Amino acid sequence: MKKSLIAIGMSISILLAGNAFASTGADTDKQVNQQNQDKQVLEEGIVEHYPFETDEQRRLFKILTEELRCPKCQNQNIADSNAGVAVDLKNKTYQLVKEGKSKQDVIDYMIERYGNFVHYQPPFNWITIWLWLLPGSIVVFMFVSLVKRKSNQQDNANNTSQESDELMAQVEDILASKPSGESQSSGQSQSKGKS
Amino acid sequence: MKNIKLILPIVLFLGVSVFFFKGLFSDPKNIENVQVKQSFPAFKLHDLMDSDRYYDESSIKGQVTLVNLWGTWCITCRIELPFLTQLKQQGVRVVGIYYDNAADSVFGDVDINKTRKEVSKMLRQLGNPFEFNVYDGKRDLTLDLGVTAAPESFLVDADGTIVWHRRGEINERIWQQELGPLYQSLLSKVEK
Repeated sequence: MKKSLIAIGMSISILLAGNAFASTGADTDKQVNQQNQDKQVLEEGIVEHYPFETDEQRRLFKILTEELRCPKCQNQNIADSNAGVAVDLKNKTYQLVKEGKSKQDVIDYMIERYGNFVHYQPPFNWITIWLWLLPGSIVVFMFVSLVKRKSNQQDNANNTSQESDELMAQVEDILASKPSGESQSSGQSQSKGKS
Repeated sequence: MKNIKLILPIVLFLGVSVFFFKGLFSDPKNIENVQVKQSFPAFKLHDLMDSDRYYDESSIKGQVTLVNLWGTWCITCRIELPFLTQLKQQGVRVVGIYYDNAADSVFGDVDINKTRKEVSKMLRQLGNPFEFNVYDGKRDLTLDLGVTAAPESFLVDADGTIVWHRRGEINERIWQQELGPLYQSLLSKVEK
């Protein structure tokens, strides 16, 4: 039990250390730089094409266009995509945000027309509940089976020691009952012990 | 207990296999349109050719209608126009919703006179299946219908409820396999 906990703790810390190590790598530094540059270009583009009066609205627009998914192109948000429908949705988002609609209002507007597909955050219902339940239940299942296996092994170990104790007792009985002829008796007891 | 230990992994494996096998043949682009089984969204738009004539959702009601979203900029629309014209000759009512290419309208309003010229030229060449076309200049109706690209089509029953939707062109195969039978069943419902 204690050992398994230690093992889990070790593996988690190794994973964390690995992550920390990876993020200090030179290659990823370049990547991060590139990403930051891309982001800057994107943000300048947003400021240029979609002017807002308040920073709050600009931030909301940015969040929304990154969270809404282009219904035409499979795995791009509408900020990244230049497909016709993505441009339309961006313009609509801009219009709604300028009208002072809240984040949830805009998301509801889009979902009403394009379904849940359009939002990267899936809703919580009886179909999607497995997205959360399944990984959790797998972890629980693995933990339970690990603990069970450990206790089984201990039980087995206890059983075998009991058996051998009984056999030793038998051997001692036999040795005690036949004291005459040492070499003979030892040979007999060995063969009996084996059987 | 031992049986479960033997059977459970097999059942799990089979389940996962079936799941992935089905995934091989599923089309990730086939996202169900959420407007199907809903009533046609409200709108008020003017005729593509005549800015003074207005239509709304009641213009679509009353007859089984095939609503087609299209544009002269859309190549697949060009391909389906002759077949839609054929359907019209068979007595199917086709109504068009015309919308501009998003990339064009980014640079300000599209010149509608130019569009009208292009439209009448294209319809003269390839056939005109439309009873009328509404011009969705602001693309609000297109968004309300959950349209992702042109062409898309909706079959609307006489009560104004959307019963069928398709992304992509309508052709002989689609008509024979899906749309035709559905259209006939809706027609017979109206006659009753």
